[in-house]
Amino acid sequence: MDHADSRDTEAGAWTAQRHVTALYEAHALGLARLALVMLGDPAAAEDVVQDAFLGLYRRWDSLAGASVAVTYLRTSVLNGCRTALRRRARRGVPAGVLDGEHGAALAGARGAALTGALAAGTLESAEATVLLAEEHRAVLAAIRRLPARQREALVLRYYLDMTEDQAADAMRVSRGTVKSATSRALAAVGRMLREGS
Amino acid sequence: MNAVEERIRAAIRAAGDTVHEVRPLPLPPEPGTARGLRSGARARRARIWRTWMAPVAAAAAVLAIGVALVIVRHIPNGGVPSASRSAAASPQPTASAAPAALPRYYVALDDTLKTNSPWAVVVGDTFTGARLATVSPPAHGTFAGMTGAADDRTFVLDATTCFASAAASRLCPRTWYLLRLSPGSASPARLTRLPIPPTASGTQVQGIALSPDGSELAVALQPAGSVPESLSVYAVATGAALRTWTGPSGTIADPGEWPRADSNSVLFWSADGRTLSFRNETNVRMLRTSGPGRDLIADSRLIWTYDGSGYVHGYQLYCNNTPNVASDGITLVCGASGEPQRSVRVPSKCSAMWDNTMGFLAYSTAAPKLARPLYIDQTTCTSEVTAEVLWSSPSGSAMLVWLNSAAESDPAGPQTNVVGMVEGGEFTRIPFPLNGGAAIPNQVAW
Repeated sequence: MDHADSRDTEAGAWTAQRHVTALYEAHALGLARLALVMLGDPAAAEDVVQDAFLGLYRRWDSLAGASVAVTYLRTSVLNGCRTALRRRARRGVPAGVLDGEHGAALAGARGAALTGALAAGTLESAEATVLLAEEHRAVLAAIRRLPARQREALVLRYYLDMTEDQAADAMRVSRGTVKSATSRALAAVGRMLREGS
Repeated sequence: MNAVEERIRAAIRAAGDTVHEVRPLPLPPEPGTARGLRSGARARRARIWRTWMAPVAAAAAVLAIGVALVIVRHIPNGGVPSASRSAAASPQPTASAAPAALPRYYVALDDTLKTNSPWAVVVGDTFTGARLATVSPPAHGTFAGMTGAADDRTFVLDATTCFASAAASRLCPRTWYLLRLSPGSASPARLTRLPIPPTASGTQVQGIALSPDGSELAVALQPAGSVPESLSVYAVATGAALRTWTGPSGTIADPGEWPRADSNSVLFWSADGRTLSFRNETNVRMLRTSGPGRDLIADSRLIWTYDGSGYVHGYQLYCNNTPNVASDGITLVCGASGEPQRSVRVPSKCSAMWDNTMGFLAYSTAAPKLARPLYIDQTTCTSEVTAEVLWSSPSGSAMLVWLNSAAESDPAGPQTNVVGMVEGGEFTRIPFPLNGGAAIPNQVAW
């Protein structure tokens, strides 16, 4: 590599760093929230988001611009969540724990034992109780029981307010699938809430 | 927006809003070191997942079974019985009402709304709705899945001892049973333990499919840990593993957490048993069962992939899931949903969001991008909930299907929830006993 190449590489890396940092400041919090709703675990959610941004950084030169980057990030976070859910399902932890496990994470330094107990649904956390009203926790528990794709459809449509076409792009499925998954999820959540009431 | 939607939106936002900050992103300080950062993330993940990386216990020894095992090798290979043959064995012949191509008997999980108690299976008559038999699960267990041969008399069921929660039961060991039907006899259903090895604890059954002649069982498994998933073919009579292929996690569709029945709709045999197809959320691939190799990807052929194409002619319809492969190995069928194409249809009184439609599409491996409609539901003002193929004839020309929709005014409320047959562009309801509106795919086998 000659000096010109070296300068180009350094300039490219600096550009990527600047852009990715700016994107991180603008979108990381929103994506972490999205991942949290999917996974229920703040630490895992942050891992997924950081991996997505690091992936973006590595691929920066091959992406066409910031708008594509945001799409890439969103899809990458969803893929990361799917992978995490699949792994979690294999080790027997209920997927997308949005109530107890999240409460444990909010408790932070109170230790892994508490986290484990909450993940197993054996304890309630005061923080979770405060932060998430009973009404919300019942709904989130119902969402937790949905297959990942139905949960994704709900999150994209009702949290990110995406249109069906946008959600289909993010999920890499057809619009019909988004409609079907959303409708199926609504019906299932409604049914579970009625059964639980 | 209805009440359920509002509750979901509020709950999701409340959960998301509990995150107020994220830790800084550790981008590399020097150019060219981004690749190295990945290992940091991996190391972090490795710590997180270390606890479950240990291998699970080895599978239990194969149990030999005695003379009660019915040898099924003499079942006609791949044939779908005619109505008259089915009727001859029935205690109450109703064959005149039975379309020639459809299977007469089914096996279904019973009362699946019970989530904390064992599930039995019921044996029913497709056309009359009559219950021929109820088969109790093995002691201290519950049935968890079922798959049928082409003769509609031979089924393989799996059972597990876990039924305390939907999530846990997916990862509990499965044992295997043969169910033989003899309608009209003193013992219309006979259950026998099979020598197929039980699955290991922590392993998830991704899918099951009994070969058309009933002699072989295909089982897709996702073991615990970051190991590949596998597809194995077992000899039903001996329990011997005849072939095994492996592939990366995600090669075969994950059945999800709810409902919990093991999937009988991701693996598909051809009528001659020479090919076995499998699907994930975007692709359908086909293996030659006698072909070389052990790699699910490298040794299979991609026969369908999601590319955004659907059926557009008056209705815009797209497959809800990747399609099922009919036993001719050529036809693919799927339940589909979408909406009327407004330019060619008189506008309805419904809001756009709820003016939906559903139906069934067919593709051919020869032209996998060209969809043709098999049936389109023309009910208006509905939230389409689902359309699923439960069984299809070898050419896909006749199907048993499930349609489930709800009114615009209350999409989470009472549903139109019917099982029927689709043939010649017509839907005819059959008297299938639904379990109080529970989702039925994978909970019934024909």
